[in-house]
Amino acid sequence: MADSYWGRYWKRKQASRRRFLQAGGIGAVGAAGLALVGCGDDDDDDDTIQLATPTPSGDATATPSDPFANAKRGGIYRLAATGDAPSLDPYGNLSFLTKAFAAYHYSRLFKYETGPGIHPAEVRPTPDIAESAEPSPDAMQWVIKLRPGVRFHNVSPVDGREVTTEDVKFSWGRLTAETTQNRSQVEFVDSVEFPDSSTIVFKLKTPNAAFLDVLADTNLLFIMPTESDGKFNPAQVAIGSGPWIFRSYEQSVRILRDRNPDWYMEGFPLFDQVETSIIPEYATRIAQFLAGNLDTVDPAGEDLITIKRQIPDAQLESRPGPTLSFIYFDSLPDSPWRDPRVRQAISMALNRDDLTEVAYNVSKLEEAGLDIATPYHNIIPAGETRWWLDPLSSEMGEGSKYFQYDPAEARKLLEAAGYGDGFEALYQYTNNRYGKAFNDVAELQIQYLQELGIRTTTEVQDYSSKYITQTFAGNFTGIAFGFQTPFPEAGAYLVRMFGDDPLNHGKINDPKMKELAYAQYAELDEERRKELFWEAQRYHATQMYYIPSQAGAGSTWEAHQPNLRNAVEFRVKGYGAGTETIPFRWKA
Amino acid sequence: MQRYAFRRLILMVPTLLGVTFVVFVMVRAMPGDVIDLLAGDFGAADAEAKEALRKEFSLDDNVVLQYVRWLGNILRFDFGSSIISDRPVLDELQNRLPVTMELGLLAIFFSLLIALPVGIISAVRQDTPADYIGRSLAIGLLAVPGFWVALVAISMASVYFTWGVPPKNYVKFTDDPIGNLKMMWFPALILGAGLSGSVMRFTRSAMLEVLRQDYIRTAWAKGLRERAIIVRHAMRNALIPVVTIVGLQLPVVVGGTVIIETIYSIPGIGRYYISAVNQHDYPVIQAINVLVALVVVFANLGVDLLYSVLDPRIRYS
Repeated sequence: MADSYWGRYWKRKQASRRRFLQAGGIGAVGAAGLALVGCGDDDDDDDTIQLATPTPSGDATATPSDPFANAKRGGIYRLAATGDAPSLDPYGNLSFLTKAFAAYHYSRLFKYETGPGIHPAEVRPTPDIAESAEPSPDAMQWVIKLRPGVRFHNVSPVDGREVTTEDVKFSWGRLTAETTQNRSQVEFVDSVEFPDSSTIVFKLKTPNAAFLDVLADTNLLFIMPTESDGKFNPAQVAIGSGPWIFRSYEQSVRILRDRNPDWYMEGFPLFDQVETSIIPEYATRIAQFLAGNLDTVDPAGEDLITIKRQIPDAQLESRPGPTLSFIYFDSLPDSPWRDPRVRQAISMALNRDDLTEVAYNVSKLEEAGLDIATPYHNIIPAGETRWWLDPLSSEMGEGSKYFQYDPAEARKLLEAAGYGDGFEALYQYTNNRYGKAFNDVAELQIQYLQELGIRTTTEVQDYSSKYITQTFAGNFTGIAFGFQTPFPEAGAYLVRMFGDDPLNHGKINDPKMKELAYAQYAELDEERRKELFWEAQRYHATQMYYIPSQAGAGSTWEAHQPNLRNAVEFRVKGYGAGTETIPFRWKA
Repeated sequence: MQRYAFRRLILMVPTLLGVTFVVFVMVRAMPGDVIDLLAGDFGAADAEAKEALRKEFSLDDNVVLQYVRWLGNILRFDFGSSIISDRPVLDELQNRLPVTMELGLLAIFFSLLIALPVGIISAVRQDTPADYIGRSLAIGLLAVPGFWVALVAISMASVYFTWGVPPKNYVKFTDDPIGNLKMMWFPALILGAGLSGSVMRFTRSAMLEVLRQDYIRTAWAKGLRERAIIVRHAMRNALIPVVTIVGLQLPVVVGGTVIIETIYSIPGIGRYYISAVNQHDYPVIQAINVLVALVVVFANLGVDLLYSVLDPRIRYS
């Protein structure tokens, strides 16, 4: 596997102290020269923990080449969650709150690589408690080796014992159990074998170049101890091998987690404790951050100016929109949108710049001096920067024009399709789930459809009782607008939304799309795989089975207190922050 | 009186049985299916997974059997476990109900603190500026939504006076009384202010009626001071209908604190209930509805009995 940031980091750590200091260009400095302060316990007094290249200045801040310069251990990292985790059992519920919770305490075989210079959208799988992964040339078999010496938390009933393939086998059994709601996501795995206590062999039914992404996916395989079947209740207590030990959970109040001193990444986590307060109200989260009671918060664009005014040194970081919103259509044979020209026309009738402005207040933020990205979603969302093809770029080809706002051309297309007088259609979406930006875009699109000549009747649906159970599953008539929960791996957008899958919302059956979707999964060469992604996006733009819209395309933001370190350097998409970023943060 | 109380307690039984039946039916009549929600995006078309889930939660049994089983369980104080979290519902209620009760009682306290003096002054100084101000205040407190006040207060505090931002995490009164009251006083004040409008108007109209009575005129004629007339003679009778209103507000408060609990991150029944409704968590919804019905029924009984204590003319047979 390519030498990652962590690969280089661990190689440095294994060098002698002298070689390490010489490599840092500092020369022979004793243990006291290591600018580590605030160490709490006896374990920190020895020389085994080498986090930083010593720097002469006591108040030096982390640099891109050494994110742990002057790193301090200790303290409490204070976060907020928007709600209670419905279940603490990683296989008990599909909610992101459950998955994000699990990522603090449970390891996976792989996780996402983070660190300086790694954009959250560019994250690649890197070993967690796996040590290595070897694919067969046809990507149909993967041999995973477990990292030796990884231990569960030192709490009863596991008492710090080593993780073995028995635990992986048990966890795989949980993932593929009859009652596990998302087991269909690993249906492509034919069988799993465990030839010894540290080797796992996955045999696939179909090739999957993104198999390590599957193993890194926080929606899927968390490694639980076999003792969770009967000796403790994982719905109420979390015991794993992750960086944080579960301490307490006061329902609707807060979760407390202690640092796992035996985590396989020696010297980490840096914080002693993470406190996650359950604060469902957005205004309250912002208020607590401004009052200094939270270290990190998730502000909406319009609050960035207030935050900057109140806390001028607050660190703001953004990432391009990961959530794809789209207009989609019923699959009835007589519907007007069976003709691709109708779908193309609808796409050209949308003013995507205006939609972005309405959803994200772009001009106001730009006036305030903030750098706002405003990309257009393609069928791969703009946040998937490894695979996304900019619809306005020259590489997009013929399909680019269908993303341009051109109502006159749109009407010509509609006329050419035989609907010069327009037609009636039901337009449906849910407004009690996705937030204001989504609702604003959904409403504005009605105007564009009307201007095109589509006389819409709007049906606003309750998320729980109608939208998710009917419309989202493809059981509807008319036009719908919705979000797709971000997939951890971009290939799923093609395979799941165009294949034989519950997430094929429009029940689309296009052989070429399917061919491209499955071809990218079988392609191990990244450059060739990227070309397949781009080809799929070019072709889809000419068909517009799903018309990408701009809700979800705007930047999402995180704000951090000025004294928090490595918040901007260590970022990740998805729910794995508990393992992938938070252990590496500290407070100056 | 004791026979009356006993009779009322016996009559509660069919009332509560009716409530359990209505709750059970209405919860299952809600559009949407908890299994569909649990299955989510991925399991939407996986019939096997859905069937397995239905079996796991005994939702594949005959509906009548489900009702009878549930009824038998609640008689043994077994409210079952949440379908979503697998946590026993009774444990959650034991943790959350005292929080909401505390919030409700504090709200009623503040409501009386505002309403009684304003209502009394408004009545005693009828048709004066003090009366007009009092009545306008009552209308204003009735009209302004409490959640708006709460959001504005929090937002302004965070910008202009951060000391006014409430504590982040709830602490129990038994663990830290001062910390608990620091968290609860302002949301209780907002709730109480909203309740005080109607209490104030009732107080005013009850006082006006009492002040017109002959015995009050006699008291004036005897030369008693105003304070003695109001406090010793008029208030006690004027407050009888007020007690009724306040007593009936308690179940309303218990059931209606969800928005304030959400804004102030208070772990009460309201938040738990709304979350359960959104997720179609049948055992939780049923349990909370039965609980609220119990509170209403007992509150009504309590108010009726208190009435007879306050007014010796009232005797139940």
